[in-house]
Amino acid sequence: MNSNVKVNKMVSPYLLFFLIHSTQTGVMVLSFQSDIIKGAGHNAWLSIFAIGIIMHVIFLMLLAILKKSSAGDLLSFHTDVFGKFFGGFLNVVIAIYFAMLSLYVFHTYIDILQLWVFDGIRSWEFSLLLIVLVFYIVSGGFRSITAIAFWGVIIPSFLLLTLVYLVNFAETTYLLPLMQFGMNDFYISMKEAAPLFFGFETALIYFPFIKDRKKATKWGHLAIIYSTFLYVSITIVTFLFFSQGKLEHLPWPTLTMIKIIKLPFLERFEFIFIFTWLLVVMPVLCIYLWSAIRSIKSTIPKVKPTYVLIGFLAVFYLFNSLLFEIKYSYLLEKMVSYSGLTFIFGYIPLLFLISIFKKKVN
Amino acid sequence: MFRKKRQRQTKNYETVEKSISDILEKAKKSSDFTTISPFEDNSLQISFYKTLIDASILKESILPYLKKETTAIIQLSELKKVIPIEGINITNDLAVVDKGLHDGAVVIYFREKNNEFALLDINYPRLGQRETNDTQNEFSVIGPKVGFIEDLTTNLHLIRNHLNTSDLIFEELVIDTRARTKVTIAYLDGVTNPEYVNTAKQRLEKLDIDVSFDNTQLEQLISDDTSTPFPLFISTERVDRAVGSLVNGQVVIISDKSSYAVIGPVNLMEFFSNPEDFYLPSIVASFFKLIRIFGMIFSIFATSFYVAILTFHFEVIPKDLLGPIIISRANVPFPPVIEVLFLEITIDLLREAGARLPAKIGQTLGIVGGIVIGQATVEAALTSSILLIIVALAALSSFTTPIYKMSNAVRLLRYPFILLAAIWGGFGIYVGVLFLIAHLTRLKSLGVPLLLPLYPYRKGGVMKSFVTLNTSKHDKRPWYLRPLSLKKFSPVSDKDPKDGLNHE
Repeated sequence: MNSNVKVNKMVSPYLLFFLIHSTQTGVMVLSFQSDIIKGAGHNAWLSIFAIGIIMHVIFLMLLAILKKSSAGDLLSFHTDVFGKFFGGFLNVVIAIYFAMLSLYVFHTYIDILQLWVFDGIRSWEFSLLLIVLVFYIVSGGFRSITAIAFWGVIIPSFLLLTLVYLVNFAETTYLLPLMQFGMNDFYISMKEAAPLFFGFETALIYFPFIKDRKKATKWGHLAIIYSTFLYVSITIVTFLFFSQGKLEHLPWPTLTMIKIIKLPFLERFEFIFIFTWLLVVMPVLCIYLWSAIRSIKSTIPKVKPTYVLIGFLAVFYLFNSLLFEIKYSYLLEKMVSYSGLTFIFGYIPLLFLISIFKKKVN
Repeated sequence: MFRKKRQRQTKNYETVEKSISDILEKAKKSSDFTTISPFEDNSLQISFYKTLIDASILKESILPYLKKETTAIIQLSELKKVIPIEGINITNDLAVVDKGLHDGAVVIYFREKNNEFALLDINYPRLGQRETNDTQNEFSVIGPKVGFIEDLTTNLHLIRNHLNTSDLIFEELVIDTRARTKVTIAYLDGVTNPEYVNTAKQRLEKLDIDVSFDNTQLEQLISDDTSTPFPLFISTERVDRAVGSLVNGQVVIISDKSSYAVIGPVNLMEFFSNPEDFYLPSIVASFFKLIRIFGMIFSIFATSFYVAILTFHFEVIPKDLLGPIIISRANVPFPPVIEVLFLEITIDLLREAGARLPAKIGQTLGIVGGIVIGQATVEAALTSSILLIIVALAALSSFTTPIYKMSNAVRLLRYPFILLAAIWGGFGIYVGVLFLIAHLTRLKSLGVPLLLPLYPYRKGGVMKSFVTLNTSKHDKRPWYLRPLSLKKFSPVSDKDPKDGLNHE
């Protein structure tokens, strides 16, 4: 696992915690509760717990794959195993997958902004501002993105205090009885909850940028534990707050919950919440996009990464200006959900199996 | 960036003289260049710029002794025996003579023999300069009020006098091609990381400018990023601040004709601390520092939030607060952004006018600006009185930043935020915040990240960035600045008897 990344472009191992945790928390956190109750109802938080544990297994697989690759990332693994041509093709497919997830986050955040805050501003205006910001951050390179990931975890953590505020309204009987549902129900909930943890697969691309990788894996696991803890607590607070019948009909349960908070100088706290969520969303957007660009760059070295970035941003902009209808959002969400599930639970284990039989390349 | 690309050229902007007589001929064109032949029976000549030398030394210590021994001097080397001044340099090097003349030396030579010249250094650099500087721009109530002045020797003396150790090294460079300004890099040997010294030296040596007017100009030229409103070095006129940063393992750059010392590498939170913090009790000092940080944040965001909330998100305001705001804005004919820009620009005009006007007129300006304009605009219903309060508070809090350059950056930052807020509301402000974070994390000071103890996170630095600890807790240098020795001092724990005199 020797990489060709220069030391001055690397980041410290503890930053892997922020990179992984910040890519996992995205727009899904605002809406997942009403999806996961489809199976196990008020016990669905157990499913999140279970999927969190499975994610550790997947993460271990991911590390095993990286260990067997020549440059320490998935891109070199592809070319090692599948040859230059087909491996390169897979890299481009991966790039498209990452770009699609980035677009999904971009699209959904603007959707939330329009639904909850502004009805007067059109989506192309938001897109314009956001792509300028994304361009500035991503063109700064991986260290710049890591900085955003760091602050994107630190600054929004004050929002966790809102959970404490919401506990005042808790109704404990909503969580009872424990273990009411069968295994199949839990399975459905787990499937719905899995997209919450999407994002750590980008480590396949940026892992060579981490100094002292042995130490870093500890931070990676810690990030997954923290995300699991966070999701479980948000879910439990939501279940304590809403009855199941109500929750079914809420598209954005987290935001609806936040609406109850009132401060003497601030009537609608969810505005601050949604805006601060930009800090949560930005690392996801940027890391996915950066991974996509890196995949393309290492496959086709002649293309300048700046042009790839501009190309992707142009696609994002056009998608958000022209195709801003609910059916496209729905389509995008389905695509992201399926491809993500396939990637994490199908493709990574497959690669892991290959890596077991593959000889170590030096 | 362009610093790397540029090729080093040995350019010389001055006309090149071929011989020393050329130099003297050239110098004679200036009316302040004087050549005297004091003795009739000797062809000895004395040339000097009378604006650069100390005339009293010439009259009292050179001419009388020369006169005594007029006839005995046949060789220039005999001058050393005759004249009671150290540093008599006998040379025939063209460059040395040229430089010596411009450094305030008198040149003594024989009219016939043009191969030997004696240089007597009697320069008077402090001619026409102030005696002291009582740190008017970085004032503190407690603590020494000695500041740098525009003379290199005095400034170095002030530092050396305060930090009297042989570890303190002054390295002198001459940077300009025309004015040949002397720049000194000061650091503590065995403490400061040599990498910083080398970076600073290398950047200064590569400079190619004709005249440097102030140290802050050099600071811009050697800074890591030129397209940022943020200062990447602390420029201070306080001696205690400069000495303090030397002890902490930073590099201090002092140049001739500048009353500011430039300190690097620095981190962002250092701009909000003041030497006075270390003279006050820790709790009080921490409170003041937090007030300053709050002031900085308030100053940047107050008016932009006003614009965002009143343009887009009036739902955010609680009902009871909405009443007074509506009443105060009822007669204002403009949208919030025009209203805010009007007042902000007024405040900046006042600040600029106050800075340019002579001090005595400046006082009246405060009254005119503060009372007349403020009161009148509200009465004329150009702005709301609530906004007037916010803008005044924001202006006030921007002046709490101790370093002038940083306070300017803070003042400037609010304009982009106001514009973003006017177009995209609160979303625009948050995008601005992300831009700011992304920008700040890119900045470096002498190769060290500007946000250092915060990001990249360094253990033990976060606490010190926001509060000022007791002096006894400052016994170690910040390790993230990579000093060569970490320990500054080891405070002795007090050995007082447990029972005081009045113990009961």
